[in-house]
Amino acid sequence: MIELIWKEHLEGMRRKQYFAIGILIIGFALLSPVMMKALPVLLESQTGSEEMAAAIPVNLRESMRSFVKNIHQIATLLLVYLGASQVAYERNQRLVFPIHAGLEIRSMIRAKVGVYGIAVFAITLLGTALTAFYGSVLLPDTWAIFPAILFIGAEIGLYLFVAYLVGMAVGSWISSKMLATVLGSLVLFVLGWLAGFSSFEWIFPTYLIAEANLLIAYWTRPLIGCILMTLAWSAILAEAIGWKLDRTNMTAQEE
Amino acid sequence: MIYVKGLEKEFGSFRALKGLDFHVSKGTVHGFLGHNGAGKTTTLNILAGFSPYGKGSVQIDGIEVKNAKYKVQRMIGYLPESPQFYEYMQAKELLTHLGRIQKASKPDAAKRAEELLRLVGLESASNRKVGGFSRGMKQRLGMACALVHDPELLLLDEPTSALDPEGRREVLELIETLKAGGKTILISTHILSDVERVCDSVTMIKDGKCIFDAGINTLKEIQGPATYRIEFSRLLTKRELAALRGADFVADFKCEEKTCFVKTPSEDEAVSLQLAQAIMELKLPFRAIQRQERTLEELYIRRMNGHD
Repeated sequence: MIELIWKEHLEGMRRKQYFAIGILIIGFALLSPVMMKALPVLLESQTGSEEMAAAIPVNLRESMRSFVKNIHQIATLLLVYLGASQVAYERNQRLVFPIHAGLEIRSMIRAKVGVYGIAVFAITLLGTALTAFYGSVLLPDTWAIFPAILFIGAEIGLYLFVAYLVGMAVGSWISSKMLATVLGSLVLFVLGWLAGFSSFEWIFPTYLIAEANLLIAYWTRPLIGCILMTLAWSAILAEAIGWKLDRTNMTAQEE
Repeated sequence: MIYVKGLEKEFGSFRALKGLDFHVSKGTVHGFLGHNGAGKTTTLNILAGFSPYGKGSVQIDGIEVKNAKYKVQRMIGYLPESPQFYEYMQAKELLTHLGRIQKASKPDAAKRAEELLRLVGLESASNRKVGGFSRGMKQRLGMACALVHDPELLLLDEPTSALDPEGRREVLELIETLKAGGKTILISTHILSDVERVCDSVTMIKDGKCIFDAGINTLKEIQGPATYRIEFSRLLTKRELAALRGADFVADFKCEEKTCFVKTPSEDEAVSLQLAQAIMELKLPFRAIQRQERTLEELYIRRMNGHD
């Protein structure tokens, strides 16, 4: 297992996958407070109305909400694509030699999920911390930063981890990584839509994003339920991906 | 080592294999021949445990592949036609990684990687990333990857097709070395001179069915009517040519300056004696008579066209 974890880490480094996740999340983290600070000036220059520009709340909380919204939309797409393309990369004959050498595909999936799960979680926490601290320098607010960073970062990180898993899951059924990305994103969109209609909103992973948007830093029963539910579904999904790939013809060139 | 009986495989409504039978003996190199789309790669994928099959039996060392896929996969080294690697790894890193998957310790896996790189002639490229390798280097690295776990059986799909003559020679020498080491090797290829050089036996398939499965020598023994090359000391006159053409043991006849090619109607030794006798009786100015061996290519084409 250590060897498989090492291989995934090496892949993350050398194929610049950590870099891609990092540049997007850290980029948004640094841009969000700057954009928030510049928003009134931009509005005034566009509309010529000082009142309208003054009516827009410009503070750290709004900057954080903007960060959560942007990350939810853009990073989800990237993580679904990352999951789908990783599966396509492996199933394009690259597993032939490892399988004959004795690789268990489920172990490989567990290693991938572990390595990228930690990477996504850590980078998201770092991004949330950066945007909060940079925002606190640029923008006015009296918001309690530190506990909120942990909560918001963990909630977004867990959601993006689910997005990565959904990408892998769809990619294990559909050989085209682009189609898998579109379908995976659609699955997450439908889950969010369904959550809006449900009185059990917390059973859907999209509830994590709704909670992150509240910028609160305390445990609620639905939040704990949602985290446990998301972890349970993630474990099931990871095993299902391994099961499906175990039954896939690894000799077909599909990338 | 390999025993295939009545193997059938369908892709939707297309029947790729229609009751394929063949066998490969332990410690031999076996050629697997057929046109594109005949079912060679499909068969190799089934043998390698990557593709399920319907009817029929596929046994490797007495084990039915579909009943013990993982066990069989550990016994096999498989080199696909276009092997794919983790391009971001160095050659030695990749082979060490495969060794580590096999639960070898890091020093043992690294030592084995070095041995294999030496065996396939890539020791000077051991610290280069695989993504920068040429096609021939990748083919040789693929052989090393297939050998990491020291399998008893090697399945090689077109191992020399993309290589230059030098690369081909090296791969064939490697196959001969492995054969000498007691490995059983099944090679799917289009290059018949390679089969002629390294294979002990051959299976020819056409439209998903076996049309020949025996030793190379058996194939050559049943090669059918022979061709004789006769060299004369001068150009033959029209009368002499007509006399030679008219002989009843001459099935076909072609002359190129002082050399004539005579096809006899049968393989019978007596015909060759008759031919020599007739040439003497006709007082033709011959220098030499030589029977021409038919190449495997000719035999292959004859078999594929339904002759013999």
